[in-house]
Amino acid sequence: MNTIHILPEKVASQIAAGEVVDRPASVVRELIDNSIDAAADRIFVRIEMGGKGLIKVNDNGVGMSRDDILLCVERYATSKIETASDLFSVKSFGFRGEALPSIASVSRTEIVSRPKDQLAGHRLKIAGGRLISIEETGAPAGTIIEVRNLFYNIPARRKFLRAVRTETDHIIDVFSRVALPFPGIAFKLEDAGKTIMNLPASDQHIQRLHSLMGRKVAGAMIEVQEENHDLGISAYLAPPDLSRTRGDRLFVYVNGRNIRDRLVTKAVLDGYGQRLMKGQYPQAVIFIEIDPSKVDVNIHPTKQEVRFHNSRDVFQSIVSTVGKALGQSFHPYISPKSQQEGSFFQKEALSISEPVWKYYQTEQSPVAPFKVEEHEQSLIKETPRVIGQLGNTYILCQVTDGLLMVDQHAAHERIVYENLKNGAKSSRIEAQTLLIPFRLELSTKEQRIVLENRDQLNRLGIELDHFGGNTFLLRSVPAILKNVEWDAFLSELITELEDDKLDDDIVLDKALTVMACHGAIRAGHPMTHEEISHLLSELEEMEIPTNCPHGRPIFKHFTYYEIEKMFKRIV
Amino acid sequence: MEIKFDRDQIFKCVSRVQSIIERKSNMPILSTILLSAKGTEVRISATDLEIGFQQTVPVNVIQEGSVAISGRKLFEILKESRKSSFHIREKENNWVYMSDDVARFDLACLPADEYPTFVEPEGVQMIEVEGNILSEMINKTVYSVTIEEAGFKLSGVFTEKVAYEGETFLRMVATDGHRLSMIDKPIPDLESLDLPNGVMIPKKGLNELNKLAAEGGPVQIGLKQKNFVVKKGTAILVIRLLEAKFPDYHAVIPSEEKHSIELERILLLEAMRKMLILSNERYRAVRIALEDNIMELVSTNPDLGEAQEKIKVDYQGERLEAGFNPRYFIDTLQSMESETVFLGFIDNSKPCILKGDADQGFLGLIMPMRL
Repeated sequence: MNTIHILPEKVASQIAAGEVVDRPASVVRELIDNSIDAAADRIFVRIEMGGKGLIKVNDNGVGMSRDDILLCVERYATSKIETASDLFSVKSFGFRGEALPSIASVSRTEIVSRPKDQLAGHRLKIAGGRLISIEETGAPAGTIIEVRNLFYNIPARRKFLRAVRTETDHIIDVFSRVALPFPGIAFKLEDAGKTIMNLPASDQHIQRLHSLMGRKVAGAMIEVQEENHDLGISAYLAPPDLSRTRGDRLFVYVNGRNIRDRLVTKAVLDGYGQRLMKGQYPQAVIFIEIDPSKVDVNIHPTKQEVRFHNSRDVFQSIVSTVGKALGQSFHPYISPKSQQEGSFFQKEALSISEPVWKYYQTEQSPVAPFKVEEHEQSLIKETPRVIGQLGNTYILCQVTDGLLMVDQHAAHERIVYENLKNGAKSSRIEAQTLLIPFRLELSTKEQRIVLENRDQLNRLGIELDHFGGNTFLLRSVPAILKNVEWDAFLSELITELEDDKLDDDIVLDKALTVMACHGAIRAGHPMTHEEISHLLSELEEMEIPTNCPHGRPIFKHFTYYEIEKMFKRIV
Repeated sequence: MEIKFDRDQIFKCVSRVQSIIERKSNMPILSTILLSAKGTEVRISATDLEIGFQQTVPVNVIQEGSVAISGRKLFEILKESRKSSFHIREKENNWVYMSDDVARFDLACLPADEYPTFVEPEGVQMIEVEGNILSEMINKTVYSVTIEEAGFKLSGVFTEKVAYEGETFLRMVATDGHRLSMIDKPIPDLESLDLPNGVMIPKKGLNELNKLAAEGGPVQIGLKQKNFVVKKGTAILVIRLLEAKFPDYHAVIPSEEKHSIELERILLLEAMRKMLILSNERYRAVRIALEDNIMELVSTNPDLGEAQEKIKVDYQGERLEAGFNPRYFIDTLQSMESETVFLGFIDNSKPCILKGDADQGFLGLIMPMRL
């Protein structure tokens, strides 16, 4: 008897279904994609039991004729592409012709559809991939697809479905992700007759951002758009201090398709650069509009991955778009919000009798994210008034809209870092030779690192002579560094150099970061008012005045509104 | 305790110890001055636990005893008053009454018995040194001491006995790793000073010592149990020595310079001050170039601009160019007294040597910078 045999079609289609449909949320995703492809401008989704009981998607799209309905549940039947070459310029969401048959093979599915120009629609019932009936019926224009008892015929799968609540959460997540790039389409999600999300059509992304990111984050986001001939990037970027330890709030869309892509994620992270701490991810939404022939979406059945033909360009464009927007938008002494709401002092008195609605209005009405250009115009270079030093560590200042707290170490670290970096660029870092060379005992591994990076270290003013064995003599040090514990400094520097490829810039940058940290004034260091003012004015000149080279925030704003709230002057 | 005294009797002493007493100490008692009346004298003590100072002053003692008065307040009261006769009387619960006949102060004081006991080392072998010499030695070395303790733990001046040319000298050396200043002075009877290996005297202590020595007249110095003891008249200063080890500095002192020039000290000092105008945190180096009887100083700062000065010198050798921190030159030249200074160079990686005829026994070294 042969050991190899061809699987019955039923089994094969169930295996295939497993790739496309792994949980109710993916059914919702596939069906909404279909509705968008069908040019609907109203898409209603109803679920019951976290989608395990029912998923019903109702749209007012083009609809399907009797033949189309019959065909659509057949494998590899699609209206979206025709030839293999179409695969290389897919403009629609679907194209594989797998979604509906896959769903139909693992559930009891009912499809009701009527094209606008026909009087009657048709109802098709299919269960576990077996056609049960097709009949004429009265129906609104568009398509209604009902998926019941998902995985009823695959108990193994069904067992792996999670609690109703979890599956519902997944559906909400998918729903908001898919709805975000289409503000022109009205979306609604109902769970067991209760409306969970209602997204009326509008011409702005912001409403959708609110539901996806939350009001606070969405309100603080800045918007940026960049375009060149075949690549358009628009992004909504949350301030770096709203970053998270997971990348779950970084949404990437390529031609409206929500994807997860390491390249784009890396590019966004690089764009935020030193504004982020190690291991932190920003909250951001990135829309990439690209010629469909320059991106391959046919990587995985779930279509969550893409390949850019010219990935380097895409990468660079994202990095520069994000970097530029952030650079212009977060100024140390002006909180982005105050630009919009106007100075607090203009609102007359700070008395408790002030009408409460004033605040509600500013806080609750959705504040459209301001455009970078506008911000630039209204950038008032106002020097903060120094109040003093808190615990010899934080500088307190009064700014137009409230209190500014500055971490003196982080601020100075940034200044030293950028000064060093500028010096390194013009290849002039002054080195002070030491009268008595400093003896350094290194491990064998450290010794290798030092020998490999000796030229770069030398450029930084650090001259290390190999004294034999694992002993090195430190002969010169960067003149800009004062009061540094050389042992600690060099061992940290060497550790930093350890795990990196020997790219000149990276080595330099890491070294500068460590140098900056060791060269900066420490927390607990008392400062005079003059020193503080000097520090603040220097900080203003910096390229990234918001974060220290490690990504820690340099300052924190407390608006009068927040302070008033603390003291219950306003409720 | 109750005493009556003339303002001038104790004002000088109280003002001198202001730099010793701690203003922001977490031990409040260290911000006080202890006044102990006994016999016909009052003993004034101040300490920060590293330095201790005592001086006895004759006053009119009405009742013996001790009080610990805020050093700052006592100083301010004496300073502001135009009257000369003062009266201090201890009251109950650490209150002290103080009056200059016009104004009356009731001062909240601290219990005198909590004052750190000040043990004057006994049996110290003392030798006598001319105060002016001691003061000169301190002035010509102390500026090279590292300001904050970091890197090399060199926050003091190394003091030792050296013998050469059949004579014994007292030597003080200070370095911050970038420069070094050293001075040797012959001191009579130095052999009997108990100083076998050399000691590190902290900067703060030296500054106090300098105040005593600069008044002129003989000063007695001695060492005992990690303490440096100084006596002058009725004043005793005890400085706790630093434990830090001073590096072997002998190896870095060049045996001879390759090129040497001499020039007017004031001229070089002024030139360096001008160069300093265009230096900042990032660019602080001045480039010294020697060629064809000209010494050229250039300070280039991409942020601010460039400064240049040429000084005529007697130099015929090959072109020599090296970068230096002008600040270091200024410090050294300021401390020197000679009208003409000798500058010695070897090459642009070796230190520049500074000497002067009127600065007997002095040697300054400044390490170059790489530009």
